[in-house]
Amino acid sequence: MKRSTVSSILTVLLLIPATLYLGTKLPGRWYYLTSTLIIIETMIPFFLAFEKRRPQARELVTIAVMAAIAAVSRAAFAFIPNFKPIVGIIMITGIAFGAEAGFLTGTVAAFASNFFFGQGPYTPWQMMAYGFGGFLAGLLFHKKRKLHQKPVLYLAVLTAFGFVGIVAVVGPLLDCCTIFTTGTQLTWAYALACFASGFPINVTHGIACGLTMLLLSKPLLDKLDRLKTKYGMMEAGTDGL
Amino acid sequence: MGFECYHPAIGLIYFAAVIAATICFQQPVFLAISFLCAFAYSVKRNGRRALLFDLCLIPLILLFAGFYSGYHHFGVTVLDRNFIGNRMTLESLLYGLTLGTVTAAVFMWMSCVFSIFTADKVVYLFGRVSPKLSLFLSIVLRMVPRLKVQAKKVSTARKAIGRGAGQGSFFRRLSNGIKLLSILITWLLESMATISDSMRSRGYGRKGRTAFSIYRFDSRDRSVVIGIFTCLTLLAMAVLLGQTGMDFDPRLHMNPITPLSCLFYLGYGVLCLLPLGLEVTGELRFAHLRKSI
Repeated sequence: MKRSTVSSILTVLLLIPATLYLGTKLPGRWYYLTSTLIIIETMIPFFLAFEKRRPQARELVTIAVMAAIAAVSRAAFAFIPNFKPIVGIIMITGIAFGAEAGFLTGTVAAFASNFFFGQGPYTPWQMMAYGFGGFLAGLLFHKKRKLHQKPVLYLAVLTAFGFVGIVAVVGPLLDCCTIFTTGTQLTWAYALACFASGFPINVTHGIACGLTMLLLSKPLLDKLDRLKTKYGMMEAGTDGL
Repeated sequence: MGFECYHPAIGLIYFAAVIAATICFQQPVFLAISFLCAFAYSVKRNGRRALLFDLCLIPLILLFAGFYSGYHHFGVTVLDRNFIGNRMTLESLLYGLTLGTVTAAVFMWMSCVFSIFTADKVVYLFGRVSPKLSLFLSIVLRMVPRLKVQAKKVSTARKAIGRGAGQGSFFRRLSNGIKLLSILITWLLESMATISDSMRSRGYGRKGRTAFSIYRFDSRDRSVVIGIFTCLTLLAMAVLLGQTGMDFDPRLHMNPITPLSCLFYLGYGVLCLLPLGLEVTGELRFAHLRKSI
């Protein structure tokens, strides 16, 4: 177990600089290819961390169901531009099941929902950004059981986290995709211009995510907690069967 | 005696090849061959519903071409200027048309794939690669039909107590609909957990478990494989000779059509019509034999 973690971290630490080095050697500055490769490489340790816990079929199926619900929620609100509850649902899954499960749900939901919306060079970036949203939510709130005592405060904190998480983390990660895939020359000015033009979109997206947290976090968390208690799943170190 | 009676691996190779070719070959003759064959085959497989669906796709292709040329202005042949003063070019219009046709053809091929690849074939093909994956797939593929049945049950029961999604005032309906959704999500999550537990207890996902299958690779399958790969070899030659591509930017350009390229068109046509031809000849022979009883 331990050795595999170390080797995966080492692989990534060696792979990313190697990719960067090759990227600078390629003629014509292939930012697009290099950045996509690096994004895929950063996702590897997250998948390994989940795999390390030897997930049961029912855990995988539960994550698949949550990813499907998230993907459908994105498709259901497709008529309002940039208003998508998908990250909200991913964050709720992360809060209920932990950081690694949240990351996996995010990547799967992004990949699956792009079958409705069209795959593209942005797919790995979306997978990474949505997955990171779920990871962050799980990291911050999965173990915080004390907050449950004050439901109103908990709801307010989650709503605020949904908004801030999108505007400060997930949105800028998605903007990085624009920077690396469309820019021919990387400059700070160009990057700042991209972030600035992405800001209103991120705010709309953040409002959607905050609203999702406000309306759905209680019912969905109740369902997922019930599932966890009833079947004893998603707890590290315990085997349900 | 349809194409679904052949070995699942043949279906996989065939559809992967045809869909990849449809996406990659933008030369108009190749595209037209794929489009027409997909049209004919999907109508043969799925009957009147497929005919309606395919006919609806044609105006959508034209709409997409208009939309695309309204946003992209590459090319040298200017047809007109639109109302905000941007150039409408022949090249972007034709490229939009090509993209739309490719998408429509892929949709039609996919409708054939769905009618041929039933869940047992998917599980059979992937169960060889990984037993866990096949367990996972068999649960997930059954999810949508099971959900439909359960949704019908729950909504009927709720209608009986006056809480149906179509009963009451607007807000009542909304809240009833949301309740229905909530019930279904809870049911889906818990039943999935139960199902995967019970399937695991029956030994799914273990290494030594063999899946029941009625597929064997016989001489008929072998001859079809030889046919498919002959056509694919011809297509590979066409790709090497640059016969399958087309340039749209900055001007329309494709390699000239020679007598040899007619051979490639023939090969592609045979490949695309292969399942349709097999089914039709099979049915004709069956009818003929039946007459002679």
